[in-house]
Amino acid sequence: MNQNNEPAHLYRSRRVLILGCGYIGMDIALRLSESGNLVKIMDIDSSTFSRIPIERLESNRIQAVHGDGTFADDLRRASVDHQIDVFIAASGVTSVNIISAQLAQHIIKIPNVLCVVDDEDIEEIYSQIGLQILNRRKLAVEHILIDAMEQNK
Amino acid sequence: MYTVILGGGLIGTGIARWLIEAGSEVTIIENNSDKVHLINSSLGDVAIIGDALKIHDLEKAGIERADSFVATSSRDDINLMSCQIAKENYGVVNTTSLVFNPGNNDFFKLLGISTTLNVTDTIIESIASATAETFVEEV
Repeated sequence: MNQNNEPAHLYRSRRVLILGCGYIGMDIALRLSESGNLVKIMDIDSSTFSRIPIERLESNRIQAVHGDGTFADDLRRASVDHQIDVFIAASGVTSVNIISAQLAQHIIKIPNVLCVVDDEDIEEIYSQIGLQILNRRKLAVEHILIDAMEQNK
Repeated sequence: MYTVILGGGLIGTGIARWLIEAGSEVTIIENNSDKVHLINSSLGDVAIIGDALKIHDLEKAGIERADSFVATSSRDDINLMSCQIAKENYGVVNTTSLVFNPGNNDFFKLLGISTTLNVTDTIIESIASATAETFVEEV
């Protein structure tokens, strides 16, 4: 129970593991940590972690994990000390995201798994076999169209 | 029997040669055009330039009528994904994949890949058994 006597689980912040400390992964990490979630971000290239604002690392609101998201052992290591609620495969390589998201779903058994892809055919195939897919190309186009329509008003 | 092979390296080409000699029909998908030309000049026109993660290129290789798909790239992510597309989208019955991270071997089977070859463990075991007498001192 928290101070308001509300059930704690309704207010519990999410524990999120993000694969890929690139533009997409980093943006998601910043937004989610701003709204009070605990975020871990994994990348195979540890030099990408220099982009994370230092105060987020020092306050532990974002934790950087050096690892290979295509290895179950590395994913397990990143999720073992915290029960991860959400996994987001957001590296720049679709095939890496696809294998990593399936490891997170079937082997690590993270309850909520999201996978970023850049191809409509791949979106369709993997949606059908039970993976939650975000098509970054389609999302970008939709946002641009919405913005363009707003400006025409 | 018709087989589509991902990868025109030594392993992919070797499998193609073996299948052709056994009277089978094959197509190799390889993204390096130099490799495609070399394969085609030695095996006849069996290789095409393409990306086995793209539907269009798989269809160009005739994936719809394939009985088997063999993934021989050196990356587990690419091998897994191409096998899954072949199986889930085109109903290819036999999917075979090289697996480099030993931890992925059972995982690929769990996802329905018919045959996996655990390359790393196979090499380590072969080296260990071939060199046991050389390196292990007898007490």
